[in-house]
Amino acid sequence: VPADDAKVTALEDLYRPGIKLAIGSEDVPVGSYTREVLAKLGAANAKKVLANVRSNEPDVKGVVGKLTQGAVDAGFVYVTDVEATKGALTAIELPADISPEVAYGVAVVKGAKHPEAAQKFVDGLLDGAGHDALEAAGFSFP
Amino acid sequence: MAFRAATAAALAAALAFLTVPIVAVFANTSPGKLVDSLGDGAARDALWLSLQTSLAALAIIVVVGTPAAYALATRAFRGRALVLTLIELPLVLPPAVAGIALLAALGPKGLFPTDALVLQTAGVVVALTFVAAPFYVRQAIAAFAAVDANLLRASRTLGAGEAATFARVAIPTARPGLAAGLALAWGRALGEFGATLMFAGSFRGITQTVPLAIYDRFSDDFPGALALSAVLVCVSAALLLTVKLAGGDRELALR
Repeated sequence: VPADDAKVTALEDLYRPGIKLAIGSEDVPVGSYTREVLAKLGAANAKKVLANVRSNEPDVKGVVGKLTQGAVDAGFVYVTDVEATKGALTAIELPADISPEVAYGVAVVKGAKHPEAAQKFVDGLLDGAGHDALEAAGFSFP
Repeated sequence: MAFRAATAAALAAALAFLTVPIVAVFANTSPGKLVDSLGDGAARDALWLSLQTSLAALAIIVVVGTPAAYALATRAFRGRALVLTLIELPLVLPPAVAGIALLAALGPKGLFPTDALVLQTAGVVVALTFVAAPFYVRQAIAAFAAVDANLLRASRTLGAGEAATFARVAIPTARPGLAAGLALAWGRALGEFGATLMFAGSFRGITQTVPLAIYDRFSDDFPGALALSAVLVCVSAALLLTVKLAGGDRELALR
């Protein structure tokens, strides 16, 4: 939600008619995660939330843009996107039982031309400077 | 002889380059698919919305743009070149810039803050008007400037007022040029994507025009995207042809 003038302060606020929402379109990752979360709220609640949707954006940047410009009251984005706005947006914590697991993998490609350099890069992401940068950006590690 | 062959070759190359992608849209779409895509409710909503919003934008453009173009074409004043440049500027703006600019001007946190346009059908009309208007106004200025000044003077000496001269002499004489500008503006409005998405968002039946619906299908329903593209090509071509014929465009006739 926008950090200033937040009309939505809890998940339940999304059920209220009149609240304006932007979410990802059904066929992009952020949109399908969003629908996963909504499904866990129960069909009746999901319906109330979807009734408030004013825009199905083709990517998460669109949702973030609509939020920072104040076009909508709330949107579903990744926590890393909230961090990236440097305070323009505030995250509302989702209960752990409905949070989707959004996992990113990293690996060295089989037959890579420079497997050692690639492995070093991977190691750097999991431990070291890359690890710190990812953590600062809001990612967590398994 | 060699020059004629060279120009003919250039024409063939231009024709092939410009038509092959359009042919490909139809080559990959069976007529059955085309009809099926029209049966899809979201596609029909998008077509209907595109038609409504582009017509609304066109009405605004013609009503305001025609007299404005007439003023620019018939009056000399200081800063005329600047005004012309400002009016034509949206022509060369990338759509993303147009979208950002509209948000900065008329968004909820804009220069003139309002909630009435963003994510609303009216916002789509504003976006279409912004990007399409210069196409019409530019052409209309050229068309009015090409009207023989003696015709206008004759009309005035015969007792017609300025308004009557504009309506009964200037407009009919400039009609082919105005129609060509109208066709270009309409085509641009129908194809508008970036500014609409950034300013008005994408929601079925409210702000999701055909280009946005095509992009929505792009990732998971490529055949559907193609079919809808084919429909848009047909509609645009039909509009272009109709407006050109109605305007009595002489370029279409064989000389």
